[in-house]
Amino acid sequence: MDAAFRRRLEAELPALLIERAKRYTMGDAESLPVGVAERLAEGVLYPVFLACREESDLAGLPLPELRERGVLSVRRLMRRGQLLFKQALKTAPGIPNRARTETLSEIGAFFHIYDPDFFPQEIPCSIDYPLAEPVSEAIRGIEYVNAWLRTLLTENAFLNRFPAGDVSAFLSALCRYDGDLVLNLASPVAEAALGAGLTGNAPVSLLRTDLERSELLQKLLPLTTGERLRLIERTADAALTALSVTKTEYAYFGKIMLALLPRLNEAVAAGDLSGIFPG
Amino acid sequence: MNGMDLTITKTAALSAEAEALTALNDVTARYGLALTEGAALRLVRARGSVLMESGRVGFGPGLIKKLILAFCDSDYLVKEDYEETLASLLEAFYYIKNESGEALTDDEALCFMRERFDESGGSVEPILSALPGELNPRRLFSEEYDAEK
Repeated sequence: MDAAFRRRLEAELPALLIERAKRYTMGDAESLPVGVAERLAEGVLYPVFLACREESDLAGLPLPELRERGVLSVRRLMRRGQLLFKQALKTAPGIPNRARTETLSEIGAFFHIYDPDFFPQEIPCSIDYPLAEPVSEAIRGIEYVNAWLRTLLTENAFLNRFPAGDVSAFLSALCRYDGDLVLNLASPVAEAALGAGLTGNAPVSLLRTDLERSELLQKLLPLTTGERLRLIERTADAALTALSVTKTEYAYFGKIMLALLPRLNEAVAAGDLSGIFPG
Repeated sequence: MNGMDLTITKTAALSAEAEALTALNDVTARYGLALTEGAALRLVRARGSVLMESGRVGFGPGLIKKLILAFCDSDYLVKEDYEETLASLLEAFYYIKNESGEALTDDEALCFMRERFDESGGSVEPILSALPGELNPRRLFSEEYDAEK
């Protein structure tokens, strides 16, 4: 935000805030608790900045008009979000997960209670299912929900490349998973696919035998961290290519596979890979 | 954001609002009540302070006017301490708004205050001792409440 725009905001915001507060109270009150006033102020600034981000040449418009443009963008993002939400339901992998089910139910309700006019910066729902790569908390409102849903769709697409029964058996071996555990499903599966590649198996083969783990340990022991990283990079590339993943999945899960290195180093040092590559 | 009054950030606005209050003297004169320009200005400034102290943001200039109109015909409002009583009622008003958790509109809060004020012979204290449970519009403005009293 440049200095001129900041000065404009400071000059024009009080009048707009008064107008918004009057609308919010529907004329029934001439004051509000500070907390509500702050939420209203953020609810003005969020669409203003969204409009400016989308079209920087709009920044010269009067603040009320900028806000209205921003609210239109918010509504457009809501429509997009509803499509993403439908896709998320349709593509949900057949592996029971209470946190994911409840979060999707919350997001379904979100579209009914979200208030793009007064509080578009808020996320009035509880998102408990942990993604492998969390969405930045700096993202607010509908943009956060859409980013979350897009990431979930990436994870769904990846998980759906594996037979659901195999994933369930693998998760059960990994952590006695029963559907109630709050656990991201995609991340351990991606790591297991890497483990499959490291032991010379097809990436869809998720469970490892004692012999495979022992051989992998012997293979990794003499390698330096740099050599292990390069091995992971090569194996991740081969596994993801074999799975025919999209570019988005490739970037997302490639990063997750590379992030395994510190834990892999620890497991090698401890001489036990079963916590990462169970059988 | 601290509590503040969005409408009186400029001195001119403050004076204009004080003038609007003294203009009400035409109405209150029939009850023997009047505000000097200085008193009106002090009340407008006091509102800013009370808003800040009570953690609220004001966005309309009419509250003191409403307060005057809601109370001016009370037998317990007297010219000797008119300004002081209005200042106390102003504090009580924002207290009630906070205690009600925004359940009461401004008019409902003033209505409740007026009742308490008159019932107690012109004391602000009974307003301040209202329990949150009492500040429920459904309860306050129901026939059951009238019967309870």
